[in-house]
Amino acid sequence: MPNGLLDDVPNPLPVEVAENIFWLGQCTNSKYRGRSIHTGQATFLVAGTDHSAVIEASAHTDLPVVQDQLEQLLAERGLPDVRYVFVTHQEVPHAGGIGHLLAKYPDAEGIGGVQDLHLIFPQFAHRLRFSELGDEYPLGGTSLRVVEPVFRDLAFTRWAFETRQRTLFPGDGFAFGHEHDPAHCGHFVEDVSGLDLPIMIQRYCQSAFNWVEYADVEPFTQRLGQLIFDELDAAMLLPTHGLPIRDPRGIFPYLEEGLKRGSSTVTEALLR
Amino acid sequence: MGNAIHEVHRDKVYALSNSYRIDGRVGSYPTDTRGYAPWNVYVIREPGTAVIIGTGMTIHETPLLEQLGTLINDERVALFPLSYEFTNLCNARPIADRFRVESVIHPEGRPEPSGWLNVRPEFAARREDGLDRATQRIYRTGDEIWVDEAGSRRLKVLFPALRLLATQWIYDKESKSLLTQDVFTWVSRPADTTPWVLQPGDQDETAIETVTSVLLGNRYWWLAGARNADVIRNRLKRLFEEYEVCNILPQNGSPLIGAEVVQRHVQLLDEAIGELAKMKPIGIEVGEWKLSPEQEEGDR
Repeated sequence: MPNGLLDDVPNPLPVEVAENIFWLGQCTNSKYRGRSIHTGQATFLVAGTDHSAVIEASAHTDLPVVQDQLEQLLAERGLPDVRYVFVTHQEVPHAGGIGHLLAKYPDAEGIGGVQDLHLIFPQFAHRLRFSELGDEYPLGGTSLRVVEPVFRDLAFTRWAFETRQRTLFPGDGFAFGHEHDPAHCGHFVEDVSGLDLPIMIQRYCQSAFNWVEYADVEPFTQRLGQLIFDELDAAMLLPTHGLPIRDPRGIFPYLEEGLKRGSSTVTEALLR
Repeated sequence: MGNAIHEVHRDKVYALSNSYRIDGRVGSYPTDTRGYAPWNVYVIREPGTAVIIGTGMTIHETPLLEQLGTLINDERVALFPLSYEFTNLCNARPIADRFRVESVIHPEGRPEPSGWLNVRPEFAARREDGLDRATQRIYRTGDEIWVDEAGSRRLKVLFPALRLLATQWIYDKESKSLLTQDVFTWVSRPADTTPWVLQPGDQDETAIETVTSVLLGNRYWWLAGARNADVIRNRLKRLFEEYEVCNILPQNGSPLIGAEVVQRHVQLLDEAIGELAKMKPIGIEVGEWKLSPEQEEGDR
């Protein structure tokens, strides 16, 4: 398995986070106040009995690692070929590799939030289909359902929900970094000790989601709770820019606090 | 296709505009808008050097290279992608393969140019990569980017007065031009006709409703009911007081040429932000938005 070596920490990915659901990619190293913080643009592979789907096409800088991981998993585990490449939205950290993936998997369609991509990859325009809420893509034994993107930057973002194991792929939702540490990288957030999740979420908001400065986030956290617990009964959350979450109810209060901090702290800075 | 070159300022700044169809599939205009708009690449020139800002869309590769070919021969070229979005990346490689691209100007945290600018799969098989000879010129917000090596012409990197995704605004004192990326993009046309620029004397029917619609239609949905919107308005006011701006050059939509046109559209933006702030927030309902029902069957 290729090793996306970063700062001498071996790449722990891919990790099978649930049966036939794999977390791919590698950490991205960045500095925050002198400390090495990892974030990332996660890609996921969901395999049904008939088809596989790639969720998020990675920043294309990570693509060589992701492509090797995909090839090896599909071959070693005998998984069905990729039929769908789902992107939450057309920003490069989420869709950067979609052209390469559609070239590699000629029977695959690009789905999800694919606005503008027909102008960037015109050779694949006929294979790009914008998804509406409720659209469902059968994989055999499970399916991907397109659901409401409660937390987003671009308006026509889309989230995916894998129906059999009730796994939500919320894109930019629940974005946070982690320490550059073998005990953090490649782990579920619940298994990481010493991670100050509200602070990490706050930092991510400050650096990447500046609209939060101008919004009351409470309606968003309320709606997130309704979607995740009341409507989907999601058992796992797999964000693009955070560690996997297998206890959504246990983690949710920290996520709420992080968003509120992200909003109020920056507003306080603006008012000074 | 409506392609045009406009000399913004005396052989020093050019707008290379290439049109695209607004049909509900594009994120730059509301999904129920129809018509055409230009996507703009800007060339900042000094004798012997040129800075190319943006790369346009893949569909524009051929006309863009032709346009660049009328302006650039042996000049030493720097590519300056202003954001990490496809339209700042996708023609970087064709440009570097054709012209003498010596550097790529970008913020910290990017790998070498060929590592992040080769987004198109059709380049993977080619061995020679013009981007391999490009060095990295790292900048931070507030820096001045030299266009000529003597440093007599510099571009100021500004924090955007209004932004969603990470990007920069650029001020060129020589031409009194402000490059504003995804703001001031609202001038489109029903037909695919040139010239694309909006100049003094042109009929300008832009109303505040157009501005609010384009802002809310995708990236700036959060301006509805925004708290502390005055912070944005004050930031805009201070910027236009500090820098004399005679041209506003957005990444898409008609470039706005002339102080009178600039003043009108700055006023429109200020008023639009004020009006939007009075609205009820729409952040939750945005999550349920669908593409326009008028979109043609094949478009989806």
